[in-house]
Amino acid sequence: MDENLISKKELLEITGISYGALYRWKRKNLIPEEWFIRKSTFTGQETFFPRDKILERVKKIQDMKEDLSLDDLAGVFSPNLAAKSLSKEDMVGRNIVNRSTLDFLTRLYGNIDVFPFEKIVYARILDKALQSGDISLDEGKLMLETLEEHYKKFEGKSCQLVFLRKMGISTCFLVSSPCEFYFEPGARIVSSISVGECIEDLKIKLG
Amino acid sequence: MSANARGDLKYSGIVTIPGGSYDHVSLDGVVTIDGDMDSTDIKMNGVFKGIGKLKSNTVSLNGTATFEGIVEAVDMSLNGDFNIRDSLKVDDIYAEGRLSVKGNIVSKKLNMHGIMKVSGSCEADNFDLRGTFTVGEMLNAEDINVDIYGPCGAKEIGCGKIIVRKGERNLIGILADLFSPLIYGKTHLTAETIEGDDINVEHTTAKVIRGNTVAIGNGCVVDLVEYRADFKKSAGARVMKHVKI
Repeated sequence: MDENLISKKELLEITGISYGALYRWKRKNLIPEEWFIRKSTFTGQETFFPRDKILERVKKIQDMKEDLSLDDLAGVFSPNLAAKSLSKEDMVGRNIVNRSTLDFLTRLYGNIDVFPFEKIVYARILDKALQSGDISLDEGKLMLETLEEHYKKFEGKSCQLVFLRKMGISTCFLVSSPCEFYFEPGARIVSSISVGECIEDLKIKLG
Repeated sequence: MSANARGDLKYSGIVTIPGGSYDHVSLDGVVTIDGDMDSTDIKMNGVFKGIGKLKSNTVSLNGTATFEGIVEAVDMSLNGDFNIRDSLKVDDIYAEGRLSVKGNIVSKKLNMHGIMKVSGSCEADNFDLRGTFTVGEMLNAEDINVDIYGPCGAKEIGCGKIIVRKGERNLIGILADLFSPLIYGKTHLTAETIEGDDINVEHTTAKVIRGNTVAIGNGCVVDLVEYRADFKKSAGARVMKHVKI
């Protein structure tokens, strides 16, 4: 656990950002509150961050802040759904999903010409899981149903889709993240996908 | 906020009104709002008690008010005593008197004369205050400019720029100090850590102050100062240790 954390001082040194910028980004919710981990050290209270996540996030902010205002950036990082839609052809053309996933979706939903953002997100998650070969088409259907029914309930909180299998029986569920969960030894986590990250990627991709 | 098809509300006297959705609201007297109130603007003169939430583009209060729920507004101007048992979300707030908030304050521009108490954290782009303040968790603002007139405190302060000065006293203020020994000599800000780009403080006690340029003025007691560019200390300050990083 400890080696995955980075102290605030080290973070500022590596990235070259100032205290002012860090606190500004926190105020704008570019850096989530959960990432500020307070710990007692011999010099008193120190703040730590999850190393990989914060370094990636700071890099993204630094790359994008030339083109976008901080408020726009906050929109990119929030798990709220954006108001964008894509045509069926663009879904494949822009590499959101591959052709066979789209065919599968068409079989399931019937023909959809325009995908609203939430459907794009669900399709993308399904595509990720199918492409990795971790789950079968039937299980993909289960996954979609779970997302359709429950994702909206998270209302802007970030969440994670976990896919579980035990003795050939599979199930999936959504949990808010960060969250720890443990299972009996027979069960195996087949796939775990962060919905928040998917949305973030999509928002950047669709610009 | 859609204002069409919403009626106005006007009351004076001692009344209990249910909440509801209105356009212009004007209330005078002793009023209990027994539910959530949603309006375009609300003017309150007198003594108020809100059982639910308050949401309005503009809020103005003269007198005393206590709200149990979240208070959300774009523009607020307060004169008197405003008590919120939940959080306050406001873009622009000007307050004279006393403001106490059990939850957090999220604001852009906060301008306060008087006493401010927040149990959670307080966020603002511009934080201007004359008087005293206590913030239970973190005070996070781009620009902090305070003239302190009594004991102040925050657990952590994070900012772009901070200026803390001891407020100027007139003769009445000095006399009042002499006759109230509890407050006398306690015009002081206490924080565990203060971090920012540009730090300029007086009469402040902190364990750690970290910044780019740091100026420690009279009456300060600081265990550790870490600075990047510049460090100044006046003769009347005590700094145990300072390091350039």
